[in-house]
Amino acid sequence: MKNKFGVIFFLGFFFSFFPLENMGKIHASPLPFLSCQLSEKAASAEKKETTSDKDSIEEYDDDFFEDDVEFFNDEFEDEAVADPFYYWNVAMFVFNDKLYFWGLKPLAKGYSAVTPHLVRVGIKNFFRNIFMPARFVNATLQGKVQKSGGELLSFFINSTVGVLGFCNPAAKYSWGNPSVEDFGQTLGFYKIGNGFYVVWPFLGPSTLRDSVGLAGNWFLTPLAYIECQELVYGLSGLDKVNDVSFRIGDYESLKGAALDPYKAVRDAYIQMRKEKIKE
Amino acid sequence: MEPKRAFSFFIFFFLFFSPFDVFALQPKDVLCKTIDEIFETLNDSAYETPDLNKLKQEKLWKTIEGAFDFTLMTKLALGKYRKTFSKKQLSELTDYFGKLLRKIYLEKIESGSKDKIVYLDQDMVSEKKARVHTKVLREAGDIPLNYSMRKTKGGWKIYDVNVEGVSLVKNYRKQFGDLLFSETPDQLIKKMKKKVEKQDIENPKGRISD
Repeated sequence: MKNKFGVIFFLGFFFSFFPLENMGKIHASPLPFLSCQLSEKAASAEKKETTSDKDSIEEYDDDFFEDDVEFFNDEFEDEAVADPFYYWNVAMFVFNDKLYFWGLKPLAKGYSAVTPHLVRVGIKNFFRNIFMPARFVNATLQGKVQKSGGELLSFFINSTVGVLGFCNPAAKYSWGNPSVEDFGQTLGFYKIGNGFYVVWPFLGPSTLRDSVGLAGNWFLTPLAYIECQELVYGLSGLDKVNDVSFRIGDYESLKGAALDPYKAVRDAYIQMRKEKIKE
Repeated sequence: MEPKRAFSFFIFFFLFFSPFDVFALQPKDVLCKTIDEIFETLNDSAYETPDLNKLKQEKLWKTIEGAFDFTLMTKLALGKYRKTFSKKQLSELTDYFGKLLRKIYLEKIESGSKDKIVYLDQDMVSEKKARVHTKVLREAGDIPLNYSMRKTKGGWKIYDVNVEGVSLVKNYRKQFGDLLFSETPDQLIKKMKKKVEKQDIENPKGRISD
């Protein structure tokens, strides 16, 4: 188990320093079909634009928008991510989708029906509390002193006054429970690009950088140091189901709003991570 | 003219010719008012009976329609492809896209009516553009929800909603762009129409396709 992570970690590290995105743009891409597809796409999109320019301009005299394109340009820049494993990713997307609707969702619904609300909140707080080391280390690695201080203080208060972390008294303070920092964000903070997009079974959407981040983060999780594997799976499962029990409906509405759910989720993931790294 | 009368006349003149911007609502106030109005309608017990439910939905939609700039949202979501759309096609797409967005927004607000919304601050990007930062306090964790607003003749209007760093317009722009790369505008409109109809079947409350 640990060996496997070691290999992923190493490979990930290697690739993160040589982002494939940029390689594709120059030449000698390790994934030639990809760069070729992309440039073809860009070229034909440009072509389309130039041919349609003439006849459409006369039609548009209605409002301010045409002369104000610049007004919005900076806001809606394209943030593309390479997707060389498209078919694998789509397959895994479908797998995770079915896993959610057939497995996780009914499980979480049943679980929340038999588990008192207070207990669910307690479990959520408990897991948040024991996952502190990863957040603390990553906040520190990014030099966010206030955040790492907030993490430490929250941990001590929640572990003592908050009865082993089941309660969350730190939430009352402005420094309490700062937003999550993970290893993927730390790598992003030091200007390491996404690499490419990948969807993992069970774990969901990720990128090369964030997969490395996931592996790195795992070693900072107390669960990684439990000898008994069954217990690790059990606890991870409980954490996941408990978490989902608070979020039923989120994925449904995202999927329901999309014309192409796969692409919508991919774009949302990339945008979300970018924002998290920025903050 | 008596002095008192002259004074009120002067006040009247002053109010009438002074720059109205002073009295105009700030983007944050506009947003706050809209959301309050939506919640008020949602919680209004006068609409409890089933035959009045339609009226309630209509009122909600009017409020949302007044707050969002769906025309601009459609154009922004199309990006450079908007030039491949004729005027008629554009208005058709705006219609369906607006309906879809309205429905999504309303569903979200209804499902989260227990959550608390905190208005953090407003950030004037330029004279005509503003960003209003809000936060939805949920049990699963707080969600930052930012509204991009633009000043129009009809006051401040929302042209983008940003949830946890994910811009709605940007997300659709990506999907539209990928579709329009290989398909015609009419095909996109047809897809949008189907999407709207499907939404109605899945959640018949407040039908939108008719």
